[in-house]
Amino acid sequence: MGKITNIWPHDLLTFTNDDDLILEENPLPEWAKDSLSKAKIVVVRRGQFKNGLIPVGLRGYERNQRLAGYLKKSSIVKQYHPDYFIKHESWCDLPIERQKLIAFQALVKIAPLLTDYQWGISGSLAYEMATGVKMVKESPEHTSDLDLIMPDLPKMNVAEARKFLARLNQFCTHADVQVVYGENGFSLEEYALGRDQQILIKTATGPILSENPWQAIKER
Amino acid sequence: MEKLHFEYQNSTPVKKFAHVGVVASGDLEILVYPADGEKTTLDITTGSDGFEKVWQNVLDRFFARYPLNGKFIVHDFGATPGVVNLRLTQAMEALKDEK
Repeated sequence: MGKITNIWPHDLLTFTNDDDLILEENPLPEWAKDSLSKAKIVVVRRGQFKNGLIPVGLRGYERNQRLAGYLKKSSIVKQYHPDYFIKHESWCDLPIERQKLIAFQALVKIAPLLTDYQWGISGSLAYEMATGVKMVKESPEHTSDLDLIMPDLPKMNVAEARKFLARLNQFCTHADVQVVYGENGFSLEEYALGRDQQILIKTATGPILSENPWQAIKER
Repeated sequence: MEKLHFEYQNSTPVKKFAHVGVVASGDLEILVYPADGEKTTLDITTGSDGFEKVWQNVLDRFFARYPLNGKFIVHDFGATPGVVNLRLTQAMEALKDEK
């Protein structure tokens, strides 16, 4: 892996020692110890980088197993940007029975629809492709969403956004598209609802509401 | 999955329905209805367990500023307190717009 230059929210970062990670809970809950024993990997959160510390989150298998912390920039071993998994078609490296899961099947079908766009994937699918740890869910209660990250998506009107999302949502799983620019992002689904005058934009310094999210993500 | 219930005594009646937010990671949706009785009620379903105190703080602060008397249904998908507060504010604005 080359030199680490740019780090963005949703990137996955690997490291070697548990001590490289500063977590906001001490002692660690059992699930966190278990997670770290399987894979030393965290996801970059939105927030301020200070003194070479990157805001990150550790996850476990359950949705309520999340812990915020900081990783020292100097201890990063490998960085996975969300588009890494698409460029490398990383799903092909998974065991066949994992590739058959609805979420991965949907990803395979979505990929050819997005060849003209910059895009990537985060969430449980990215985690599983980076680590091989079973993280993607498929049960009657809950099937993992596809968390799609789309930088510099050309501006769409509400009708176009609806159409765009409908194409991505035809594969039996929920495709959640986040339009991002730098550290900022908004939910394309919220925009496509056309329900509210203002859309929520997540920024490094907290969420804001904006009437023109396409413009606002570039200004902050 | 945790279900939380909160009650408040608020003065400003909600007269219409409002719906803000989305079902997406790190976000939440809020449905607001006119109150069933005298009390303001909040029923929260959240994927992140163990945050009752954090919710209490956000709600206390919000209702101290905007004493909306209504029935709130919240579906939370791991929103940060900042996002919760902004969505509540957005709901309040939506209720205003509809008048």
